Amino acid sequence: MENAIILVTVALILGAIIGYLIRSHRRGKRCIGCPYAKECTACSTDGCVEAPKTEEKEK
Amino acid sequence: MRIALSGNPNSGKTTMYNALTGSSEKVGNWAGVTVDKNERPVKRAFYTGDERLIAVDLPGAYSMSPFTGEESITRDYVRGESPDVIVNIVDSTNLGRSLFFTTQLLELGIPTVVALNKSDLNRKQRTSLDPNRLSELLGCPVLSTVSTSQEGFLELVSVAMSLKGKEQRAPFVAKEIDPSDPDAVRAEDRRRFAFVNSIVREVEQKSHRASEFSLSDRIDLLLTGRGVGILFFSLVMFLVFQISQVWVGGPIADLLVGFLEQGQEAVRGVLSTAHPLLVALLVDGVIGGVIAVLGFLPLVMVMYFLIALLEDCGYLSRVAVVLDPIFKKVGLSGKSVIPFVISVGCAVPGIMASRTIKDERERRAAAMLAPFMPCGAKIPVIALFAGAFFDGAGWVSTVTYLSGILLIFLGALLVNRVTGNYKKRSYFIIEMPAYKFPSIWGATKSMFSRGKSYVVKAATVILLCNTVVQIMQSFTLAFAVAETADASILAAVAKPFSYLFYPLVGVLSWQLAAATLTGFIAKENVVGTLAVCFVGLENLIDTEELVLLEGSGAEAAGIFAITKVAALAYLMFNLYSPPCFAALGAMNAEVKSAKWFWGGVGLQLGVGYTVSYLVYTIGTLIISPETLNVPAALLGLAAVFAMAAVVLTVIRRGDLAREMQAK
Amino acid sequence: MTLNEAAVGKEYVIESVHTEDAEMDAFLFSLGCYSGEPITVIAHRAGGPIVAIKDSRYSIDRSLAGAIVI
Repeated sequence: MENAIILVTVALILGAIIGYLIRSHRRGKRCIGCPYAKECTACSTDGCVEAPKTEEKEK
Repeated sequence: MRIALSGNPNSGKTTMYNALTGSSEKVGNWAGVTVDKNERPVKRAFYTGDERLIAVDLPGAYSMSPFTGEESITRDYVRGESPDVIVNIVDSTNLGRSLFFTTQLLELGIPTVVALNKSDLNRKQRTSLDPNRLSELLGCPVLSTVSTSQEGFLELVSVAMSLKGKEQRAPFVAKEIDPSDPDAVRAEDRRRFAFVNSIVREVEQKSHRASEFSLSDRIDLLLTGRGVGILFFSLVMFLVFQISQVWVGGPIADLLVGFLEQGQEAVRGVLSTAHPLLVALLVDGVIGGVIAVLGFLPLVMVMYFLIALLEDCGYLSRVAVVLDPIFKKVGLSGKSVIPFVISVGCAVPGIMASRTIKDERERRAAAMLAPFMPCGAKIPVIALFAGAFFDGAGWVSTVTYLSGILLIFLGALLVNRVTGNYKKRSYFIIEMPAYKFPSIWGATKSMFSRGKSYVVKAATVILLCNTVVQIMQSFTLAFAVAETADASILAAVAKPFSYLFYPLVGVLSWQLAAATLTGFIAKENVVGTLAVCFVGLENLIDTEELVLLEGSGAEAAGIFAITKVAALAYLMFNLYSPPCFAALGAMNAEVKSAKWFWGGVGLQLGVGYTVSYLVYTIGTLIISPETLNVPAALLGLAAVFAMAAVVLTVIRRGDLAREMQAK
Repeated sequence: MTLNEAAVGKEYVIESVHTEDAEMDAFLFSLGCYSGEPITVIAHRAGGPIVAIKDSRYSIDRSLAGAIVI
């Protein structure tokens, strides 16, 4: 029973994160976690336009 | 309806744009409106009526003259996108300069309203402007505003909206001239300036002349003097780190970590009957890894606060002035200081800031060298090692930043040597805005905004990486449960790399290799991965607990199985090797050439490896020569020689190519 | 003489501006630094003067100062 809870919790967390990242990329928001995203010279929205996608599930 | 914000850089345009548009996560309200990259809806609070208002942020420009290279951007935008109204934000403390661009904007035929920004400064300096007369002379509405307090915003927006569809006549029309004829262009610009000067004379009353020597100037003279300037700068940087890591940030971080750990243990208790692997996944991997990074949030936030204060008061341009002569010696200039200083927060905007450097070689060099300055993401790594191995000593972090600066110098010299740069005439000019008392509120907002990004990053990217790492550490390649971590997928993947690190730390540690590898996704991952690999690491972040442990440095060393010297070497490798993928991407975008990009990456790898190797080998020889792992040291030496050989070859080839060209 | 030899606090009129870089010339122009316009040296530092042009302060290096004839 507990095992199921853990699995579901972890799955939910990971799913939420991945969903958030995909949605942000679709909206054109780059530099997730970049503290200067709002003040970057290359962007006027809250995401640097010319920075590349941050690789997510990679080693 | 679209209003375009245009004006000189540093006129307060960006502040106004941000204030007007804010951050709108609720894009739902504007369903159907495609919001483009530099367009955002204006916040509802600023206007009434049914029509949606969108503000467009045009890049700042001093003029649209052909030679400055910024000419087309504004003009092309206007032609292509036809905004309904232009809002020209003018630094009213320097009317003479600002109106030059204004008259050019007025020629575009789009209804324009002029915002005399920084009116508060004018009031302080007791300069009076006559907006009504100016409005008559320019042929457009003129208002006073203060970007920082949003004074005049409502009126500005309503006037802008009322201008829609109206005609705009230009008070000064440029003659048709051949843009490729410099003399004709210059003559025309002079006419324009003469026109502007006449306007300014009528409209502006200064109570004291701009060229008077003020208190601000007296301070500047002191702070930009050669010796004093550098000393003062070093003092300022030292204080920033001391305050953020030792005096204020550190203690708060300890409290935070203690609190978070209680929560972690509580969760572990609740799940006591579950499969230990899953418990480890959730409690140690997900939660533990995130705690390891979040624990440093207070340090990072305090640092961002202090940096915001520095940015706001205007001191940074003085820093560029002080460091310019030094940087000139290595082929850079004071202009590169700005990218480097910004990189202390995050390398990505720092690298992009190198765009302001006109000289191509210098710009590329700045972009490649900026990552040597430890960024915000590297702070947890520094703080972790300082805390775990060196009892939280302040000198560790100071050393890393100073080394970063030193490496920038050496790197610049190397770039010079490779590109065969001979003293080219380069000019340095930087505007020195008047000192202002930094806005505490502004700095606080900045701290929270940047801190929020840090938390978001920790909760997303880092959490994901940690989970993956934790899973990889729990299973073997055959997907069976791993008995020990050494048999896991993670170990298998990282083992080959551990040989590369062998000469740097004296042991074969796949954990360290794995941590560094994950660091390329985000440098914070080094801390996160180490936390996953060495469960119980979070305790090492709590420096108070460390004091209770006897010989804490040894304890950490025991867990990691490396000496203090090796720890320092490993830390340095992580700091000075190529930065995270995001920064590498920014670097690639700036240097715009595969050759330079890979050259830069090679430089960073080489420097990181060499520095790390030297620190470890020489350090061990000095402190405890008997512990030196000789085979490792020799291998490392071979690697360093190989890299040096590559560099020499590149230099030689470059020299030959240049000789050929000269003939 | 060039800006490097200018006296502090005295307002001069620029005679000519000749850097070897057209872009720099144009940039200086947009700041109000061109022949016929006033310029004042606020202070002389070892690396170059601090000047006032049209209500703004700029720090420039010796080579740039040497290109501005007054």
